[in-house]
Amino acid sequence: MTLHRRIGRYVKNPQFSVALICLVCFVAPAAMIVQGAFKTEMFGDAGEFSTVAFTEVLTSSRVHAVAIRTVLMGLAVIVISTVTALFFTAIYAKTKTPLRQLIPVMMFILMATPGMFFAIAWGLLGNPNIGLINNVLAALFGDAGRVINAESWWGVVLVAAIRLVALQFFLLLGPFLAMDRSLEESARTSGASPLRTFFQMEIPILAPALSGSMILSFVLFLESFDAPQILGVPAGIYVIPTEIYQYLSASTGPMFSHASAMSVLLMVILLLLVFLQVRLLGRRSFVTVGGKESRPLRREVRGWKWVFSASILVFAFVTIVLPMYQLIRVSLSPFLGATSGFSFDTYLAVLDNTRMLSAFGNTLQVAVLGAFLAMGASTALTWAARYRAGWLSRFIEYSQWLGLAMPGLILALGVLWLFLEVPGLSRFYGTSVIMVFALFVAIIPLAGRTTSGAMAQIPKSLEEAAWVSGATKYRAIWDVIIRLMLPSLVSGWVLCFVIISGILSTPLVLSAPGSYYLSVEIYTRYVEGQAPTAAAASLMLVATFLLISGAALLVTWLLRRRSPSATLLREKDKTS
Amino acid sequence: MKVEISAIEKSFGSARVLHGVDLTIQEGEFVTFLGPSGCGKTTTLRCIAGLEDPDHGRIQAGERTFVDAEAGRYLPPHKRNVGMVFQSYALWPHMSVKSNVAYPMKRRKVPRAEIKHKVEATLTAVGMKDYADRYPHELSGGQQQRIALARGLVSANGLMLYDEPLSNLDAKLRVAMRVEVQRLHREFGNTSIYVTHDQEEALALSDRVVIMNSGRIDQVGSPKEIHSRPATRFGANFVGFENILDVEDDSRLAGGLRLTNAALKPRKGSAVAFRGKNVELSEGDARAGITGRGVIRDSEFVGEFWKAWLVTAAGASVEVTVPAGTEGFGEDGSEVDFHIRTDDVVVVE
Repeated sequence: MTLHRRIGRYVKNPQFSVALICLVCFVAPAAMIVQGAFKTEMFGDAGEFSTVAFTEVLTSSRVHAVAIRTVLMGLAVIVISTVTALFFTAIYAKTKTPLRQLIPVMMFILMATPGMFFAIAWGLLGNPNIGLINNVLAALFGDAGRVINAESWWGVVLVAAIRLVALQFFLLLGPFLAMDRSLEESARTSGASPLRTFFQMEIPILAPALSGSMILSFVLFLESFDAPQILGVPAGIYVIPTEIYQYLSASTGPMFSHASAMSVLLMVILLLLVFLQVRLLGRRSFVTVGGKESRPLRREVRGWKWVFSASILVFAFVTIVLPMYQLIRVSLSPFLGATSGFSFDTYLAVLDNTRMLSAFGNTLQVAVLGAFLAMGASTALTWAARYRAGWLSRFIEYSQWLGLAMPGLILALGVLWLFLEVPGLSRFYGTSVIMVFALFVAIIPLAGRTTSGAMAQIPKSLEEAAWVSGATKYRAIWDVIIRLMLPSLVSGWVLCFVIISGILSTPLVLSAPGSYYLSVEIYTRYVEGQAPTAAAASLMLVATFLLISGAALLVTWLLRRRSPSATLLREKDKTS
Repeated sequence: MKVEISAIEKSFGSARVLHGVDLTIQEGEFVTFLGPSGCGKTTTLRCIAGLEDPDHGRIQAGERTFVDAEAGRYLPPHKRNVGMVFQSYALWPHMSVKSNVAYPMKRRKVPRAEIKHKVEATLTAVGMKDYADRYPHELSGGQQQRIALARGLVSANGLMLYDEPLSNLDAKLRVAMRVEVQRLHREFGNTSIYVTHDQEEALALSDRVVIMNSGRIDQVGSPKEIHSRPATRFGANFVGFENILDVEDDSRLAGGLRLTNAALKPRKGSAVAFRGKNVELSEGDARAGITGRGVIRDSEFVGEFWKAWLVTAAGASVEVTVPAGTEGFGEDGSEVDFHIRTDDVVVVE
């Protein structure tokens, strides 16, 4: 074959265009960060390359302290979230506790609620002067009882841990349900008690899945920005992402090269961890629920079931009801800490504020579009990665790891840089375009989890049968893949929509006059002491989520009713 | 449609799965690729369908060139107009039986009225006329396979490809569907290329059988030839010749057996093969091709016959199956003369 034809074949291969998307979405921002770390001037041709920023970051004792603190906090988060997640997974998968059906519901709520809302709600709940918890303590023990402060080391750790409990629950549920029950039965017939079986058989068998999920949680803590920024920074507790933001928002002007240098270091660590996690878990990390034998051995736990049920209720109360109640209470107060005069005035004020409204509209627009693009792109990515083996397929797969290793803040920085450096793109600065792009890239790893799980359920031969029957590749994607994945695509879209509209880190870097973003507005109001406004706006956003999720659920339900077979495929994917 | 496959080579990464496959299939012929898993039979079929692109070689179907690897020309699968039946049926679960069968014609812009008529006719041909509005999951495995056949037949424009279509069915249904495949082949007159690892299926269905081994064609022949005159050790073993013995020189075999008929003309380095049921327990006469003497070992009664090994003084073991009640077949440890007639001996490479 001549070189000319060889190149022609590559270009015709649909993987080629998808690889180009990966290059633009993942590799380009990462490359911008790396080059930025060595440049003395942020933009344009001015400035020269140097390693000064890198050396300064590497040798700074403050950075060292921040790094050590981040790791220690991360370890604490992992211990707490893993133990809690294991506890609830075991109750759900292994026992006949009456309230166990509540567990996935509450975990889903926790996972889908943006981290910023939690952080704000807990910041209010654990406020030493007006927080609900301290009020209760003060009522019981007098003013000396106001000992809880969310803006503290433990506050950050606990709030970060709550969301990771939910994530780990879903990561562990699959392996738990997939475990061959004969392994457990043979241990029991060999004379082991249920408890001994659990600790001596099941936990070791689950070790790879468990360590994989722990590493992923550690990665997500290293990337988390909302809780450390809202609860940690006021107390002077910095972790790596907030330290990076500190460089960007420094009062002496943004120190881009220092922020980039630190980002590069974090990315390297994250990449190593992501690689380790993929090695441990294999591809299973991206498939939420699976398993051949879907009827795990659930046992009666006698008196314990009351203990377990109670702990489910307590967990739901503390992590969902309490923060929600606090948010509602504050949103109705005329000022922070008010004990009377509750009214809807704050809501009306928010609805009357053009800047808030524009932020609200802009956020919805960006989230709708971003989630749509992310689902589309991740479907294309997943499809292309399995279309044909080879280096293009590997490139598509590995470049997504890069996405997973770029926290929102770093990605925002890379995207900002990309748009300002590449000729012709700078006119999008300060518009929604740059925001949509950054958020869509940020959400792809999550969107990919939905699409790859759903696509794994569709045998390749269904597609091949369509090709042989005269359908082009694109036609087959539309007629077979998309049609069969539609219910998953809709629910994946909802999840992406919710997370994009609640994310704080990326918009904080990218929002500019003319493209206000609701999460940034809420955060700013909160920091400026206008907590009621922040709470009211948050709750309005939550109401929008509920509305849109409800509509989407209805659509999914209709879709499943129209083609019973697609439902079957879905049910099969739950059991097999 | 006449199909010409020439010098096809294919590698997956560093693993070479096809080492130059050449074959010409005549119009209307039923050809089966037979071989163990990993021999390259399915890859060959997928190259014809366009689901894999060979690295080298040509595939010509009638007037159309499917593949010309040297020129970098690969006709995409949707333009090849072939029918294919998949091992897993590959029926689209979100479409009714009717829509599944109509799909290939829709893609090829067949007028509506004709689609309707042809769907009905084909469903009638496979005996599934009454199931047109069902969905695949409402059908049994055998019924799903019939729909897959109908869809393939509608799509086939002279060429049908079968990728182990019956291997997911139980034994009884498999035989019934085999008859059905054969009947539809005659009725529709397509050239059929069939892949299987089941010897019986291959023999029962085909005009010609192609035995494949490690990415190469081992032997091509009529079912009868394949069954009784294998050309290689591999082929002989695959079609169930229990005994394959190396030739030492023109009158001796490995293990002390004697070649008594010069007409066999074995060369050093080749081997002779024979079936256990053709071993006769006597010294033999002029028709004998191989003679020997051995001790009966490990005999077991399996209903209609005895199975046993005859171990020669030089250590060769000959597997034999002897009809129950044969005279002169004794207990383990007794020594007997045996021979195999020249007609029952095959010289293989």
